Amino acid sequence: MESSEIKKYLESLNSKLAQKEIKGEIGIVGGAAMCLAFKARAATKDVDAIFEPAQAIRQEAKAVAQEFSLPQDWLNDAVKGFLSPKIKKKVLWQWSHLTIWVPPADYLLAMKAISARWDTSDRDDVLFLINQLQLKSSKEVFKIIEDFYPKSRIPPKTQFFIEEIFDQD
Amino acid sequence: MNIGHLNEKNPVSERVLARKAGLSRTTLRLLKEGKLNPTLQTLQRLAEAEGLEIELVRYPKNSSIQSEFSTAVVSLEATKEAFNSWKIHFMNLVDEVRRSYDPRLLELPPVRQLDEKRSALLAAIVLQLCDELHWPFPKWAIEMPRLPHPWFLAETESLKASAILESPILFKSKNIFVLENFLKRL
Repeated sequence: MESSEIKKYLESLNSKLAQKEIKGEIGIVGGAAMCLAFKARAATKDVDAIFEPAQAIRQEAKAVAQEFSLPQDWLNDAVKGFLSPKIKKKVLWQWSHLTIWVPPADYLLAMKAISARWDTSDRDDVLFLINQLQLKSSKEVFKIIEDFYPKSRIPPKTQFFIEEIFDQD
Repeated sequence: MNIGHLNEKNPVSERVLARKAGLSRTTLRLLKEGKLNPTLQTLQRLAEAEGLEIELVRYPKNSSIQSEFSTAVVSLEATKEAFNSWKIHFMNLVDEVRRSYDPRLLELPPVRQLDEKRSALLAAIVLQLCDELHWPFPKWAIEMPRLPHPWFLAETESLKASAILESPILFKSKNIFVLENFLKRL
């Protein structure tokens, strides 16, 4: 799904919620956030998000899936258990019955640093976000991570990875 | 079954095609118009006459499998983009396999245009998924050659030691070294 397609599907979701007079919000994280908010990627396979009211949005998302022949789980909240309670919201789109927000770059950086998937896209996303935030040292990166997660949760591999990025500069 | 489009890309005359396939021109015309159903043997002869191969893929009706995330298709998509695009396409395959629980996604080898490194990686991923899901290993994945030089996916010097320790044996068999969370999707 490209950015324009994701927006189209979410607008359809807004219309369906409006028909039922339900208002909600969707916070998009992961690859979809990198795609929509930062244009770091051209496309994403699905949309990882947290949403409220969950049941209503899940139901209408299935209707959108049927309308556009998408997989049933094109919008899914499997990530909800992994998010910090300190997450801030940056509104991307505000429609009649749906608010779409993304976390700011610093939170996304912290999330990816904690998941520490350095073999795959997280590596490229972290490098992108460090550049985006104009961070100049590993100390600055760790300060951001520790704003959202306790120091004890930072994997040793993340420490090695971040320190090596700045050692190479 | 309509085979009218069979020779669109590499057109030969109907007369030549019929002769090569051992059919009359009338029969060939009826087949192309969808008025006759070919046997498998006839399809095979027609394909050979066109220099094509036939592959039968079985999907149940109303299958929810998304075949655009099969090994052959993701490898083709990866060839169209930058080298690192495998991180998106191959992980799409992983997600779809775990969602659909359908081994047919892994049956076909990567396309021939895919480079040696990414072909070996795709094979390692497929072997690891099959091991995880207790499926038989596809022959193509077993037979995919081991890389001549080790490939550390994290591209980070300080993580090499971890990758050597953590890499599953099926990746090491292809001379590829990954971290233990490589196929972890959340």
